[in-house]
Amino acid sequence: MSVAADSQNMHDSGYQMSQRRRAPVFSVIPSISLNTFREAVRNRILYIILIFALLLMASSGIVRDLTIAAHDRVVRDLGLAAINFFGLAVAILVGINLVYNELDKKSIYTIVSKPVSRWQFLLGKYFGLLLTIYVNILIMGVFFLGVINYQDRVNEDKLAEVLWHQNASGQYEQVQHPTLTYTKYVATSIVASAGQGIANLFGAMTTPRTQYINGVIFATMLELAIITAFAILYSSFSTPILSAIFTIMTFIAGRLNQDIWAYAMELEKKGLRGTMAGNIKYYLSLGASHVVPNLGQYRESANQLNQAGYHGVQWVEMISRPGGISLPAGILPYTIFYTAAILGLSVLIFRSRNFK
Amino acid sequence: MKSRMPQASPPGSFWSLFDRPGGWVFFICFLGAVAGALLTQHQFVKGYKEKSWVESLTLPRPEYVKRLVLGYDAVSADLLFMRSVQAFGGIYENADPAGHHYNAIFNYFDVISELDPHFLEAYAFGNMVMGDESNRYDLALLYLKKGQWNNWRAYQPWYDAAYIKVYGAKEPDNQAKFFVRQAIKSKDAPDWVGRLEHMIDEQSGQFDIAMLGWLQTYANSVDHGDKLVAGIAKNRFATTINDWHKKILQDAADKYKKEQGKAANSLDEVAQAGYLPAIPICDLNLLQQNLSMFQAMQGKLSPYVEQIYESSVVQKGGILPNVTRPDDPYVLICMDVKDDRMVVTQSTREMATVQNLKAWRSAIAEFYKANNRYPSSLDELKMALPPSDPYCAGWKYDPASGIIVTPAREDL
Repeated sequence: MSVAADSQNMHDSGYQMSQRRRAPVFSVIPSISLNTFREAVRNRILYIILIFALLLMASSGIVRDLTIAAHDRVVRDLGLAAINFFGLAVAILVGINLVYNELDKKSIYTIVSKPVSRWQFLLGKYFGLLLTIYVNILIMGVFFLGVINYQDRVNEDKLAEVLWHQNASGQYEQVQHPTLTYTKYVATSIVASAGQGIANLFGAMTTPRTQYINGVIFATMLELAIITAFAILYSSFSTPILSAIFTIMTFIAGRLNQDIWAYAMELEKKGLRGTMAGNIKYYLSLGASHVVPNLGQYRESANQLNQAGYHGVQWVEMISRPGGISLPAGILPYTIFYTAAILGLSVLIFRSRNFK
Repeated sequence: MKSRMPQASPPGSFWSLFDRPGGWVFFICFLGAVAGALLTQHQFVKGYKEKSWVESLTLPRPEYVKRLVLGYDAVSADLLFMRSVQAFGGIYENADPAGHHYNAIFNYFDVISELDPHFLEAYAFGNMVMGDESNRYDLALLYLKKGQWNNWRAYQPWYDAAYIKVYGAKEPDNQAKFFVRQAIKSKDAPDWVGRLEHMIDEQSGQFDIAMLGWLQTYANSVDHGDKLVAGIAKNRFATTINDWHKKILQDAADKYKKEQGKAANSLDEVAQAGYLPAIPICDLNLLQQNLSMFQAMQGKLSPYVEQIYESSVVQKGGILPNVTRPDDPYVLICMDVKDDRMVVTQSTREMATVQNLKAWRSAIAEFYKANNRYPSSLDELKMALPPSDPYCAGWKYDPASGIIVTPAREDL
């Protein structure tokens, strides 16, 4: 047997051994994900962010009194912005530490010594973090929809109906036990509003005030899938602070993606490409607009849905208005492809990383 | 044997600070520092001067703000909108009598609608601030045009633009009518939006079209049993006839002055000179009879509006009546400048006379107070714009008693 054949046999047997050692993909990744989720929910930052978001949404009742018009709109926009912003905060603040902590505490050695590939580890971390963010968003979403439903149920008109009734002579009189009636009504309203909020998330029992909110939340979830992938990418090769800075910068650049492209077009239109510097700027910005995630389209989708919900019209009608931006098609496939690409890059970096 | 030594506080607790003399010294120094800081701060506070709150609504250009908010467009628009609501009626930064600061306010609202082009309440409120509050109809219309472009299916920006053109800029032109017609096309337009078109017709001098419009509104309302709108339409119809009558009388008085070289002192003079010939005019009494007749015969009014209107037109000349208040006929009053004449109702002339007499009497009283005598003539009062006698008879003034009256109505 030649040396080459020996070598090939050894390689094959080693490969087969490693294949035998490796646990099935579909059990490893969920296990790591669930562990990551359990680890993340023990993080106090998560609760602080969540409480802050819920307080902000609960205070929307006060904020709506600060305006003379567009009350419903203010509540709706404030809640949706809070869900997006605090979801982003969770993605950045929790995501940047995930991989770094494993390296810092040397717990990565125990993991990689087990039959777990690095890519499985990284994907597990990603999906665990995504699960944490999505659970947070769903809690915020249900709470937000509950607040809107509660405002619909407990308002001056409804309370007047509950606490006052017309007697036989047609005059209004208060019910016998107003405090008890009020307390019972408010308590049942809270439970009913929360239940309706859960139904609203699945598009059921919607009112004009809650219409399409689930769609906006879905767009936010897709956007955060990309941001989380970036948080994991940066976390796989840098320190938490640098990862945070990089992720925030990516977020800003992503939201301004169209402007980066517009800058390149402006350079061309104004004839500033004549010099080398002009050319470098042009190709850099054009390249960046193709590489940087287009987060603006998620906002456009969310805005279109929000507008449609706010005005109580079908979104097809909304987008046909002059000046209306055509609804970006295929944000779901885009999210899947882009996230897969970023995670692939993370795996490539992480697999060549020396843990010593 | 128990120790008589005092028990030491647990280390790290607040009271352990006082276990050693150094702790006491530190604590006293700490209290001194706090007291010193508070005293110094109090001195600063005493020096504060009260300043009036100035609202600053200056923002960068919309395209910059749009980028700065990083996609949180809707909520940013809401916050800016709420800020503008809070600032409404306040003292604005760089406010100048020429109203140039409203360019900054326009930019502010422009930012809101750049962030959310479908924010209808912002257009309505911006129009209120720039149009109604500050009389900058140009800016208000410019802003509403943006609203129309972005929300052409919503009635509000179209209606607001028409309203501000008619009642603000006093331009009841075809553009205003176009705005109303666009507003009517919107699904969300209330029924009353279309009535603004009748007002535009009336204000632009197209009285017959306005009357037909009001009559159609009246007929529709009666057919649908809407008594409230029927009452409004009937009132507006009568007011339009009155406005038409006034216009005819005014045109005749102006023509008289132009051709005769002097202004007439009464409408009788104008009529006698042949300036008020018989012309086709809608007669309100006849119209009411026709309406009742058609209602009784056909059971419906709306399909027969033109027929009813045409059968109510009669040839009328002379001094046209005040159809809503026949006891308060139209008369001429002398204006303060250029010897002009204006057609008003008799009661309005009386009110104007009382007002003018009040101005004269007040000036005479002041003169008396300063000089201890009455002016020898009204010219001695040297009023910048001496009020004229609306009755065109000239004031009757007694220098001895300081009494001033109009010869036409000495009782006023």
